Amino acid sequence: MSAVFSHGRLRLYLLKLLAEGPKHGYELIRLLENRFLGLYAPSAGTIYPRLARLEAEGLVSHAAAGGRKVYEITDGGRAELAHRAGELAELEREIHASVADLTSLATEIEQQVSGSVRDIKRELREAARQSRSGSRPPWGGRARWTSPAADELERAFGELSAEVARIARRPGLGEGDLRAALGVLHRAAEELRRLGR
Amino acid sequence: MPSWTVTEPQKLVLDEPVTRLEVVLFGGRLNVVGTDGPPRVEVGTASELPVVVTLTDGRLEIRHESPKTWPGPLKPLWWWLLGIRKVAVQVSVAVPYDTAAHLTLTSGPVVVSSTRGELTVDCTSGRVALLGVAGRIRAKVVSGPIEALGCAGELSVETVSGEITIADAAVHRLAAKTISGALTADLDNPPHDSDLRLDTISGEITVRVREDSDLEVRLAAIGGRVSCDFPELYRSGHSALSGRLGKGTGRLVANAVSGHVALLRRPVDEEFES
Repeated sequence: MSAVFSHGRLRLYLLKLLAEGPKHGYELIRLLENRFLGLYAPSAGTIYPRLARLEAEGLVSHAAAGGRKVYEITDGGRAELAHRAGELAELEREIHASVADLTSLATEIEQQVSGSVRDIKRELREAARQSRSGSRPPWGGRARWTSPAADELERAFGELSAEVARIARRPGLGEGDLRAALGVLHRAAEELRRLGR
Repeated sequence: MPSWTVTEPQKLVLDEPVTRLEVVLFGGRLNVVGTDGPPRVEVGTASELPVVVTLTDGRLEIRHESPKTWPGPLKPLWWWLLGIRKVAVQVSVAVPYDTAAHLTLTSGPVVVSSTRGELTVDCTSGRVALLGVAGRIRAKVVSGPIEALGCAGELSVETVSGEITIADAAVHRLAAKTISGALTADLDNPPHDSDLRLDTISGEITVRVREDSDLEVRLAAIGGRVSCDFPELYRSGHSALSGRLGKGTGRLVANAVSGHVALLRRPVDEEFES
């Protein structure tokens, strides 16, 4: 399916979509996806570099709106599009041909869905299993460094929270004991805060 | 009012606009795709029961022919009682993106892609696959899985015995229910006002939300374990977790009776957001 988009044709098609009105990158991806009935879903990593190049060549411009970049075609871009109208018509024709046979298209769609969904399911199941076994660091597995000390820190933190949980669950513990535990935590947090500064 | 009675494989190209699609078939395979071309209907494989296609004021109806006067409770079975054995028919439909579609298939798979109008799918036994569908989406299957990839909007999915798997879904409202199937959802939910509910009796729930979500969270499993990747949530019961992510403006509720519940965090792709 993506073979339709060789030799800079994706660029041309992006221009065509922008000629229909200003859009942000995410919208462009959705539109391309729709045009191909979901079978060709270009990633952000495919779209953004092309938009950047089009911008460098003065064919599109962007404005920031609500924290997102909205792309708009320039006069230069329209001229380019008019110049390559024949090529565009040919591309449109090929796109239509590629989605002409509904039945085989549907089979392809079904395969794509079940394939992707199976991968996601496997990924999430594995992550859930790890999450359950507690092998992830308490801060969600996104520590900025790896070293034996970091592993140690992770384990120590896990032990700390386990101790706190144990205290909280123990029956017959007095108010005074809980206050004492609270004091320990406050002092530790204070020290850590100083380190983290 | 154009109308066709189809008894053998046939391809129809309609030259009138379509805004609403209603399909009622007893068995076979149903494919619906949103396109920007002319509306098309393809009927493959012959069935002993004719398929009637009508187009009235933008409403495209595709049904297995059935007598109107059949007594109520027996209605779904009349063709079987008459001794018609081969009803399976393969129907593929291309409609404009914005078409509202209401699809009923008693037995067999349903594939829908790229529609943006309202969508309802009712299937007794079969698998439902949705790809890049947006809008208000409702899908119900009694026995069989539901798979949704890249859907957006409001998604309501329900099975009795069948897995539900939702991937890459930019949904702001989700209601997913199974009795005995697993529920797996990978959500690219808009962070601020999502309303997400997942319920199962004996299945397992695995749900991943964006790490920058603003959600009030309640997770509970009566017989299973609850785990999560967000340290800001706290244990609120024997096997329950609750708390607030971010500003807590949205809502995430997941309940399992005998399965596990896991909440995972989905890293946000900065470039994609730019």
